[in-house]
Amino acid sequence: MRPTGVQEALSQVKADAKGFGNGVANGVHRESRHPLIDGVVSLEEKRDMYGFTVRPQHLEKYLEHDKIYKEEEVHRSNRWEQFLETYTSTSDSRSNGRGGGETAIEGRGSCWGSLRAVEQAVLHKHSGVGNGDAIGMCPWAEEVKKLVWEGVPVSLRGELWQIFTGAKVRWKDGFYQERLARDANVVKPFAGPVEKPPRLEKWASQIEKDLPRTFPGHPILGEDGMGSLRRMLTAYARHNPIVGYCQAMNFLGALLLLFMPEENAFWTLTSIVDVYFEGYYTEKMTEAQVDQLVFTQLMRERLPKLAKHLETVDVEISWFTGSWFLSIFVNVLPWECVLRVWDVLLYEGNRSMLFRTALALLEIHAAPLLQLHDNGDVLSMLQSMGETTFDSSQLVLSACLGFQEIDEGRLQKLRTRHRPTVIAEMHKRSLDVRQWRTINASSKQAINGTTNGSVVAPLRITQGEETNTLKPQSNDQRRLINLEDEDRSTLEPHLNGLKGLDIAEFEERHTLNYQLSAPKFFSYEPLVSNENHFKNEPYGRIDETDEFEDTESSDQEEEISRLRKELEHALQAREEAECRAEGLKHALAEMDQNRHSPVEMEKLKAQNAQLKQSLADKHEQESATVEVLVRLEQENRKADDARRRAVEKAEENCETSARALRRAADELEVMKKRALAAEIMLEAMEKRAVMAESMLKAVEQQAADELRAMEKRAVMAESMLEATLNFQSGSGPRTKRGVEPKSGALASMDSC
Amino acid sequence: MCRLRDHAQGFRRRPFPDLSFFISSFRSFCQVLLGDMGAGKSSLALRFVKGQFFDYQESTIGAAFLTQTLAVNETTVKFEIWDTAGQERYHSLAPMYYRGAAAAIIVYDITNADSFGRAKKWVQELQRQGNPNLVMALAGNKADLASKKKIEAEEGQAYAEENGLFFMETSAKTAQNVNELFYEIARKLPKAQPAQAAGMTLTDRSASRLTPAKTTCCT
Repeated sequence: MRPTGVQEALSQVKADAKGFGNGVANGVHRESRHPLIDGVVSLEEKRDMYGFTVRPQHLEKYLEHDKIYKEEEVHRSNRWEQFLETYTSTSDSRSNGRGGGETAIEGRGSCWGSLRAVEQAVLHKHSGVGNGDAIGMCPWAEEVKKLVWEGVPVSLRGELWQIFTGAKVRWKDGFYQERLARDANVVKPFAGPVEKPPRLEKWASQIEKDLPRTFPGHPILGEDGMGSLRRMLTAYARHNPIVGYCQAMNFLGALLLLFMPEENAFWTLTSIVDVYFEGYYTEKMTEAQVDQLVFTQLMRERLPKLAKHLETVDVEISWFTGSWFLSIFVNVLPWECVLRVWDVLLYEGNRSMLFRTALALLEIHAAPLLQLHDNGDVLSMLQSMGETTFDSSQLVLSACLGFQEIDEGRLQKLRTRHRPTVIAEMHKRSLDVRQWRTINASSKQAINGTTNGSVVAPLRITQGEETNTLKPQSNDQRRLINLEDEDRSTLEPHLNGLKGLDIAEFEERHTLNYQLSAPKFFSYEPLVSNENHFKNEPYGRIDETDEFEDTESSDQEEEISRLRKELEHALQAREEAECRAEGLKHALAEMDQNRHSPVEMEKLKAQNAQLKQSLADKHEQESATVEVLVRLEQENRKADDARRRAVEKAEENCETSARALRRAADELEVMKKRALAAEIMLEAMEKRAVMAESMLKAVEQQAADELRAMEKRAVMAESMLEATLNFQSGSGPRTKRGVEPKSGALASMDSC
Repeated sequence: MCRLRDHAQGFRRRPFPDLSFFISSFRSFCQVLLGDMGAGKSSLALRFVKGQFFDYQESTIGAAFLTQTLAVNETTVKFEIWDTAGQERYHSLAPMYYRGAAAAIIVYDITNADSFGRAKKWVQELQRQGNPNLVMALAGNKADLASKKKIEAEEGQAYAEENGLFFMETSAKTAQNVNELFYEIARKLPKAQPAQAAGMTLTDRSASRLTPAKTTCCT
């Protein structure tokens, strides 16, 4: 038995390297296939192989990676083909032919049968039996996981996503058509002066606004595509009014429509929003906020340096990750990456891949982020870095391998820890609003002199038979909170019972929840407020819409029409509830089959408790290990810090000594210069000394010469004197007198 | 680490090295766009930042961050803009974007009376936050669709005056009043700067806050 469908699709892909359009065409769009999805044309239109616009600034980078994408696609097609060939016969023999599912694809002659091996692997994974357990063991589960990490071939993506999400299991014939058909016979018991369209139409107008704003210009989302998307989203809103329509679901739905027919896409979307993203897209978006606190904590643990840096520049990562998570990275990452992330996320059956992907993305861009020190620059980079991350394999593998230990168990634990914070915050905010409003209202009343309550109260009571709970405005809120508490107490046993049975059966649980509470709780927004029951949170009704209620609804007529509307909603809700009751009965019957006897139930419960205990123990162990690891890492870091500090100090020392040395050298230089100057001076002095000496000698010489000349003159004078004396007189006295004049002459000469 | 922060919420001094003395003065401030879905918040931001306009602008999920630097009255102003999602339920995420903003533009669609009602609720919400220094602007967008007009300019103007906002009718499609709107905010900002630290409630932030003092989206 050859699985022709898959093989055909795979060989097509291999034959045509740019055959990505085939994958899309393989789904619902086989006939309406648009030429733009084919590789060559798409590039001219600046659209990628999936038909999405490529921003001009990224076109070059995209083209670069496009080749890699295609190579990878061929490679993974080969791998999947091999896998399916190997395991198809094995799994077929083991297949238990689960009913219901086949109908999902019967109509379009698909290759579902050949993918049983994958289906079994997924079932095995979801059932939670594994890890070496012999019962329900699926030997190729690990291989499927690896294959999914490497990516799902485009040609199989539609089918595999449906298998991953359990769309096949959820499928109920006629359900989708029924949701849509209800359009025609909306019950309008008070078709009086109700100006505004009924509640469901609020979604309709929102959906209508968003349809052309969902991947505008995408070839698949022409008139037909938009029609499909409109029907899908409307049907979903009616299926789960707690969520209704939330922006982001338009993108999720449109992406699914790209790979599968409308009704299949509806079931897949239902699965994603109800199970994977339970509590995410609801009116209060509680879980979306909880996840942000969880992610912030994880980031501080796993990317401490970056987390610290962001703290320094006053950036909170949740400003961005909020959008990333809500859109499941659609319009955040390039399409190849988005699809690869979706492959893993859907395969895993929960949204833990969001956290791993976000961490991996931040890790990849950590280095340049750390270089930025301006708040605005960091924000800009965080905003734009996603769309430049073209390396899908790097992203997905570093997410799956690098952050492997961030799994659903760990996340659940963290969510439980952070949820009260979020709820308390919301509670506080709504209290603040009420306080503010009370102050405002009382000041207004003081001016107007008339109270709304007294006028409105009787009206409300007349409607009481239907609504049962409505009271004058002032007490209304408190009453609702009390009521809800009552509801919860009645609900809790049911919920606990259900938990004991099968936690994964989300839909039944919430159907039950809804059915039990709806008749009692017809207020302005009965369905939304049920979210709290569902979570079993210790807080009352925190009605968000409340904050947006008009403060000055003094108009009586307005009140009446509002009440009418309420009633209408209530009736509608009841109808909805009845429909659901039908489904619930079904589910209960099924459950009864499973539940053989109370004794067995007890046993199962006990087992469950044990399992839970052991799970908790494991978690504790794990957290202890993590703690130890963290501590080790901290110590490491400390040691590193110390080492770094030591090195820094050594460097500092070196620098100081170098500086000293330099200073000494400078001084030496100065000294040398001074010495040189001194030498020069010395030389000059010596010269002067020599000169002085010679001058002295000259003076001495002169003096001696003069002396000699004097002596000569003295002698001459003496001789002249003697001659004179001789000439004048005799011998004795002559001598004596002769000496005296001579000395007198000398003295006179000296004085000269 | 010193926190480089002016007194006013949402203002921010440049980090070191501060080169701002080369130009006469440099300011960067954070503003937030709020309003009903499809009112044209993203289109206004895109027109102002990139000068582009698309008939069908993709819906914003969560929020998007954009910047534009311009010279306004010899001052270089860097506009840091948070463009938020419009659907009512996304309102629960809005506080983290408008808290700490120096200015808020509340946008409504002049062809849609509901969007005007929702704009009023946004004004109330911001007033409730009690930040006296917040510059608020009311923008009646899609002025090009005059034939489908449901809210007259006088009505918008009257409401704005009553609540101390300034008002403009804009069109992201024709670019009418778009730059003027942002310029006017920039002009109003220095006046709004208080003498002492802003008296905004710093305490009602969620535990996601890393430090109690960190209260702004752009600081």
